[in-house]
Amino acid sequence: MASEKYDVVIVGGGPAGTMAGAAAASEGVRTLVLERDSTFGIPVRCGEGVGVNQLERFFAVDEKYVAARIKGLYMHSPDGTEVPVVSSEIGLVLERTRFDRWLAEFAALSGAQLRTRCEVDGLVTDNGSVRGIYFTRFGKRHKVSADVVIAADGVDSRVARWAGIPTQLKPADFESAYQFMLAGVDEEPGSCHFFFGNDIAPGGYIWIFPKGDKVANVGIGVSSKLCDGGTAYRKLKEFVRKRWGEPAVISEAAGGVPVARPVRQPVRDGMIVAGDAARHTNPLTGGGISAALIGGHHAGKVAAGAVKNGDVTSNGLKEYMSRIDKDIVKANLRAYRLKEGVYKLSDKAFNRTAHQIMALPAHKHTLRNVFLRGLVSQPKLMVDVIKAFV
Amino acid sequence: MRVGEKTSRTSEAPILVAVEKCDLCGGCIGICPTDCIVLTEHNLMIVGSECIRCGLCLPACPVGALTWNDGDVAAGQSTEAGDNGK
Ligand SMILES: Cc1cc2nc3c(=O)[nH]c(=O)nc-3n(C[C@H](O)[C@H](O)[C@H](O)COP(=O)(O)OP(=O)(O)OC[C@H]3O[C@@H](n4cnc5c(N)ncnc54)[C@H](O)[C@@H]3O)c2cc1C
Repeated sequence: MASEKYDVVIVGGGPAGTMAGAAAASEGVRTLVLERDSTFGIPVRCGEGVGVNQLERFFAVDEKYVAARIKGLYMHSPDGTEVPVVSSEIGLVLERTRFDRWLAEFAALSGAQLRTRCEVDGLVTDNGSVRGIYFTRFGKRHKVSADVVIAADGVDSRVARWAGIPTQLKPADFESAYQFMLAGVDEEPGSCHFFFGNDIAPGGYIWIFPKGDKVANVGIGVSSKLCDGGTAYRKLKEFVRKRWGEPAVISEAAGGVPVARPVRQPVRDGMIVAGDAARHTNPLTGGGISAALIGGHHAGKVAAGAVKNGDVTSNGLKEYMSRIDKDIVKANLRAYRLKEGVYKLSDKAFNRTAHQIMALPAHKHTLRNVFLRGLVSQPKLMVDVIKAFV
Repeated sequence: MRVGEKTSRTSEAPILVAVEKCDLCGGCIGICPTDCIVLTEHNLMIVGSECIRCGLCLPACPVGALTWNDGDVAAGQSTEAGDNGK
């Protein structure tokens, strides 16, 4: 069997993996990113909405991968009330095929080695410590020894489990999702819409993210606790037909979104888990790009530091825990509690909230006010609302 | 960009994969408690011997590609083809 040695090997070439690759390689350690698919960024399983601040924390936004700037947010209650929401955050609709590719190039320019069509299918271990991975390419098995393995293998992560890290999701913590990219649809560029209701999207919502040139992402996430298999696809088709008839479809994809508490112990001797694999998606919104970037960045930096210090045990890697605790975990636990609160709302409560907000002057249509009113019957959540929506 | 074939696997598997519906999104894997679902670049496979028949993967599938292998359909074959919407 062919065998190689790297300091850090990263499984998965999504935003978490490439960001980890860039962060580790820029510290001067030998870094390898392995992606199962044949192209970084394809297929796209994402609505592509992200906050500018989240990106600018790491790099200046490059117009190359921006499809549209978000100008307005509209929430729709089950009875059809449209509530324009004011938000101070500046959002973008990305072109993820270009964004993920740009990130891969960013990792390469930072000094990382990247490879496609390499399916990681086993861990090299020694006395319970992770010491590398095995991958298969064109039917041939290869071994890569590494001081640290970063599991950034997405929602369907198995790598972390192989190291004994429980990442399994409960049905209530899993959104089953589907999305179409439609063309020829008359949607105002930059105006994003969210539709709620127990009939429209049980335990989730439908989104429209217009990308300009009459192209829009329209997608759905539904709770797999409340739905049967196929619900996501069926409900979305219904919605599309009602709103646009039979529009042209540019692409479509199924997907899964963890809406869970973050993995409790995302480090082991020789391993760090980041991104969707660590269940870092925001459980309230289902957005996971920014957490993947942040977690990937910290994972790469901490892994490189541990390699240089010669301590890659879980103790040597535990700085990752404190870094993400501050940046991801606290906010996500809060979002998780809010999600549970929102889950309990009836359509009637959604409608009532929408009407109350519409009775306020437009500048008071903030997410904070929406949640304060919507969750008023759950006073325990008020502090979370206030902290979540400053 | 898949060129290969998606296959439902092993005659003993209690769950069947409708290969023409499966989008290889891997959602079912996130929810499988026994790690018995395997996704490669081109295939989704259920390893029958490790499946505990909990059924959690069925509702997790956005397109409804997973069904019980209740004997109506020969194992290893897909369920009826086509659009599962109306
Ligand atoms: C329908 C849908 C809509 C979404 N909309 C949004 C949105 O609008 N905004 C937002 O912020 N987030 C959104 N998300 C979530 C977002 O897409 C994810 O949180 C994000 O992609 C996570 O990044 P990641 O790097 O952790 O994982 P991924 O992007 O999933 O990358 C994981 C990579 O690992 C590879 N891989 C897996 N296993 C192996 C293996 N064994 N060997 C080698 N490679 C492997 C995969 O091929 C994949 O490329 C959405 C998700 C879905 C499903």
